[in-house]
Amino acid sequence: MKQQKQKKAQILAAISTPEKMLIGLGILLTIISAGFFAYHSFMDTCIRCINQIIKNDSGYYRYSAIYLISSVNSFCRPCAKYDQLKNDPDRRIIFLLEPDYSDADIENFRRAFNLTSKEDIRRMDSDWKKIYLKCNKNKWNLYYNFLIVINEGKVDEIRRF
Amino acid sequence: MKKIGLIILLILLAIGVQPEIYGSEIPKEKVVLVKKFPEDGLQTKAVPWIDVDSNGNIFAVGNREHSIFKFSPEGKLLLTFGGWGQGPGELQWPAWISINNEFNQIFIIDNIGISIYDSEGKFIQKIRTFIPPLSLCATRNGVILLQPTPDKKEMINYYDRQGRLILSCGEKYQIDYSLSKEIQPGYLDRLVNDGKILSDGKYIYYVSHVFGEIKVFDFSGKLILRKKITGIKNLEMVRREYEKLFFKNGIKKNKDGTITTRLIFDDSYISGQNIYLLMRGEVEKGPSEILSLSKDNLDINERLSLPEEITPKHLCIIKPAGTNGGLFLVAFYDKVNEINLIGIFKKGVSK
Repeated sequence: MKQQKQKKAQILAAISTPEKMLIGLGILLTIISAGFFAYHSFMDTCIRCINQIIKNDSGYYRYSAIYLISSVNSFCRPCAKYDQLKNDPDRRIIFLLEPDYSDADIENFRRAFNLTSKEDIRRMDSDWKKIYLKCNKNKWNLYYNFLIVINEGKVDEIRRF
Repeated sequence: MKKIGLIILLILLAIGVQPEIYGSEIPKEKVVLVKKFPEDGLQTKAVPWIDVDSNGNIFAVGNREHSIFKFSPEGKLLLTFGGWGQGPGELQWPAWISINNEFNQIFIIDNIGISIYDSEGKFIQKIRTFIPPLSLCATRNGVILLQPTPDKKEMINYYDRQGRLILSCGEKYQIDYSLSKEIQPGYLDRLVNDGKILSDGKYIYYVSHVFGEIKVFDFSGKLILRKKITGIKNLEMVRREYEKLFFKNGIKKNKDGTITTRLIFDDSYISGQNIYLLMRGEVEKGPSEILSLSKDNLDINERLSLPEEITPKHLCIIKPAGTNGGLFLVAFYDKVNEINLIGIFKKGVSK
């Protein structure tokens, strides 16, 4: 144990301070890029799954905004571009709510956000629920909501809120 | 000199500045601690919201623990339920609690909605309303929520057990949002309308914790009675100050970006023939008080002073005040031992 410690001390003594800083920076950059690539590959999987589901009904989803809602309250109304998107007359706005939402919950949702009959509000089916769980994967067990903007039948933007 | 004083007084009286006479202020009595629990303080980081079921069991809400703690009437911890999450029976930042004593069902507000449990902590159902309530009151047929929002005039919403809205009533305090530009209208509505909903099954009572005013509605939503609480000089002074602030001068953020809440009462409760209000110590610049009001005419009939060494936050009644005196359950911060506790208080002298 003592020998190991001595060896370590010898190696560290042999490296100058600027070299130590460079090594530290290298480690930091590696961690950041690993995180970046992991996030993007994860998001790619999420987008790939969404693209697959919208391909099955391309006419319906072609120019749309899909909100995957786990939980939200009226304080979040300005979040996730709803006020902007609703002013686009050609865009279909779809709210997909958790499967355990009751009819009364859905009615309360419509009322709380002053939604009109123009918006489609329904519960997530099993395919959408799977996608939601895939996109929502996080180590803190938090349940986020997502906005998926689809243009020309392809995912243009995913926003988590 | 006396003549000048008399002339000034006459002039003042003539222009309408009349001295207020508070000779008939109700005298204060003291309440004393009978019992406190748990011995080593509550596991909760904040003073919990509390309520009591028909068997005398006490339920305390751990906001930061995302859990509910059930105590026996003797103060023994029986059960903990809830826990962080969004699944059935799980909670996120729970706050107000209200128990329907007819069915012994526990209604809890959290970030997601209203969760309903039986008295053994078994989850029954969740109601989502998407408007964060300021207070809730469980009734025989559902739940009444205080939900002020900028785009609606009414702030009291009554939902049935399935979560369907069956009644909206109670006009909120209308304020000019432009006076308080630094604060979002939604938040401002919550600040100015902060209070509690109570019900005795016959009427709905809205107690404004900001202005010390009570509005009484029947179950069709009709306003039956509206009265500002009078009889305490300082309370009326603070009310005038808050009215000036909210309706005339506007609210500003503090330098550190926080917003100071303005409250006369921290909590209120209805039991028997009375409404009980937990008045903040700042109002009288002394210990906090429990005010007992007759629910018929909303006049104060009793003022009870709590011990100075505690900061009470939440109140409920185990036994209504009467000829034998009441038993009050108070959740408080013990300033001496720096712990959160639940205490049973009664009028009179400590053993």
